[in-house]
Amino acid sequence: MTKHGLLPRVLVIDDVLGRSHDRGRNEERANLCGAVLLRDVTGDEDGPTQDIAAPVAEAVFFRGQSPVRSGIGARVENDLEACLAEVRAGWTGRAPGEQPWSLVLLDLCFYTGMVTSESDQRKRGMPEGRPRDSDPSEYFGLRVLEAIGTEFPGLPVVLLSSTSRDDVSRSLSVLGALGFLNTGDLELRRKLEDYLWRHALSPDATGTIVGYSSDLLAALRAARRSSPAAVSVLVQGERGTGKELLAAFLHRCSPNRATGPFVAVDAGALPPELYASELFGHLRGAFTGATANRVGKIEHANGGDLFLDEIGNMPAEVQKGMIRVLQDRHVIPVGANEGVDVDVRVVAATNQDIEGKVDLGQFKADLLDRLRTGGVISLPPLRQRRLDIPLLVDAFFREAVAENPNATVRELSPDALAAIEAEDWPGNVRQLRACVRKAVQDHPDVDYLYPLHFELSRRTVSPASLRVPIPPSVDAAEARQTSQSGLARAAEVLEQIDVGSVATSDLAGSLPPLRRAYARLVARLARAALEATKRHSPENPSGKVLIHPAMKLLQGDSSLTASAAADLLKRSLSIAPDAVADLMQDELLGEGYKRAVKIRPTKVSRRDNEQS
Amino acid sequence: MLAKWLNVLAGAVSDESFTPAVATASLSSWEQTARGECASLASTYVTDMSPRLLFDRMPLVKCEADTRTWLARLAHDLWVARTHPDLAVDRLREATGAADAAYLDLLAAVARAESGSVAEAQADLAWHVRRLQVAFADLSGALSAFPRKIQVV
Repeated sequence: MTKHGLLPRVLVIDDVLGRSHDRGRNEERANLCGAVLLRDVTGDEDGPTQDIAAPVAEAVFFRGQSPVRSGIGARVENDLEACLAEVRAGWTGRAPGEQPWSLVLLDLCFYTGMVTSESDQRKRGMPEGRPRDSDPSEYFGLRVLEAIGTEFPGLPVVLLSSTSRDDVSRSLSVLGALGFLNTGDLELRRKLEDYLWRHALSPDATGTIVGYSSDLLAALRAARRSSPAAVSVLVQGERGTGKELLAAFLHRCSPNRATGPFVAVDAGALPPELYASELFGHLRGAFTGATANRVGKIEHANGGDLFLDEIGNMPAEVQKGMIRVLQDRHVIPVGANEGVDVDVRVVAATNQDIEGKVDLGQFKADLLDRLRTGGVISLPPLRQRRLDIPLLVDAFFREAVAENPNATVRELSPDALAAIEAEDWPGNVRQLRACVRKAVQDHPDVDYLYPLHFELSRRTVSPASLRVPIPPSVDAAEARQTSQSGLARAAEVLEQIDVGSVATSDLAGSLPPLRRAYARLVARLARAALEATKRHSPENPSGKVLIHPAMKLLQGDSSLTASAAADLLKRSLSIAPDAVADLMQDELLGEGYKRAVKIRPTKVSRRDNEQS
Repeated sequence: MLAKWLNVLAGAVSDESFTPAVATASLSSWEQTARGECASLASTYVTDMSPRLLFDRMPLVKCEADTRTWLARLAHDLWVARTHPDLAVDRLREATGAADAAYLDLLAAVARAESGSVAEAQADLAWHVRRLQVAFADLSGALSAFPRKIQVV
């Protein structure tokens, strides 16, 4: 799984900074990185390195010209296609789980021509330059800017140059650059940090909100941009997309509210009659059951942020009170004649068509206008950010394993991840998290999680072969063990086989191949029993899997209880999990195992497996 | 480079190959070339950029000698009155002097840093680096007042 990088990832396209040398490092690049605290991750140098204690971003440097390395006598030319390829590799062409470019810093003036001894003396590997290189109307950087805007709209670009801004101020606006940084500016570091904050598509530095998809990063950027203002913001997104997490992120980003409270109210969970009291508070005696004064959530959020989820469910009377809060910054508790002034920013959220509700008269238009004064931020559903699924699964898996310290679970199989990625996830991230956590909690004793361990609506695993494979070639030590006495012992044990009662320690240790074969045999027998005892009906023509009758058949014991049957199936498939891993991908066995775990979710220890 | 030096002194960047000696060596281009070029620009700008020079070239060189004399002088005086090149030159001279002084003081601070206490030396160096940084920024501003292109209309 990809480690979640939390720094913005910047691509710097610059002829001076992007060039590399056969020996030593690019000192101009090192100086810039040291000046503005960029961590150089280009990986093209072997010179001395520098450590940046608290970098503001990671940076990859690209020359934008061919060749990348040039000595005396080389001819250097601008290479637009190479620029676009470099951008593409970290934007639209990146692998799942890979962090995209947060921002591009683009130079304007690129010098071309021959590298002479004089030009090399002035700056190693740099060409003499041609007159048109420094003509603002011919700047190569503007051509690159235009091409990026055409092929990669949405990718933020800021110009970084030692030339004058005045020469290009109109062009940079027309071509879509988001700003201009002069390399000689004394405030360069602060301004770069400002640009990264305002314009970069950066992930959540705390790692709370996980993901690199463009829509998610755009939402985070919108939240950062809205964070300094004291006006309300509306967050829209389907259920389970992380609206509260985004509201908390916005709160953390606010320079003047982060130290204040963050109060979350799930309006959808409030009974209508208690809605007003919950938000505005009440006086003793205001209504039946109001035995004491109560401070409402709005007052609790004074100086900070109030997160109101499911605002579409807000009763009309409460909507009037909220308008007063937003307009006058004043809240009147239920039953009171006077109220208190409050300084609260409201972050409202909805998964409904709130404008449709306004049209139907179910939600006040002026309240909606006030709630979105600071903007509307849209969170994408999980199906629109599938590239993030591996990252999310990894994060939830680690979280669940950390909460189950006795679990032996180590890894998700690639099949499991593929099956998870194929799901629709109508409940979005919340549903995904619950699914992963449940898989770990319900299967703490297996080392690897396969699709059958997850509650998925569609299982797309390939049918497992039921043929018992020839065991891997027995090594010399095992071969020596396969002696006449060993075979005699195996024959004796097999004659006594009674599924569920044989002590596997009898088979383990001295005859590992026999243990594996035994495990596969039992799995095949269990499968046959499950198949034979399916209940077919018109509603379920493929047949319902029934563990209890299957295990009674397998054991030959009609008095077996349902819970004992579940235990038996679990034990039967846990004799040698690695030997039956491919069998477990079989739909019938998987379904049976899943049902057994549902019936008997408690851990079955090794001791249970060895009956006295 | 100066901004990086400040970050090194503040502990935000560690780079074993970046020493005060290395930094001042890379600044040596100031006294080797840049200082002289700035001084030369200041002393020759008015003469080299005056429209009076156009009267030594075609077609104005074909004017009568008397006409060329007073007309050239008039063109020069008008140019000075409209563009005030003397102000830009004065500012450049002042900025060059300030940058040079800051540079020499920085060299002295580096020498002191090698013998004094570390903490005091760091603070002293940082002050001088910052001063040179500001001086170079002012010089850059002074130079930007000079035209980079010459248009004959």
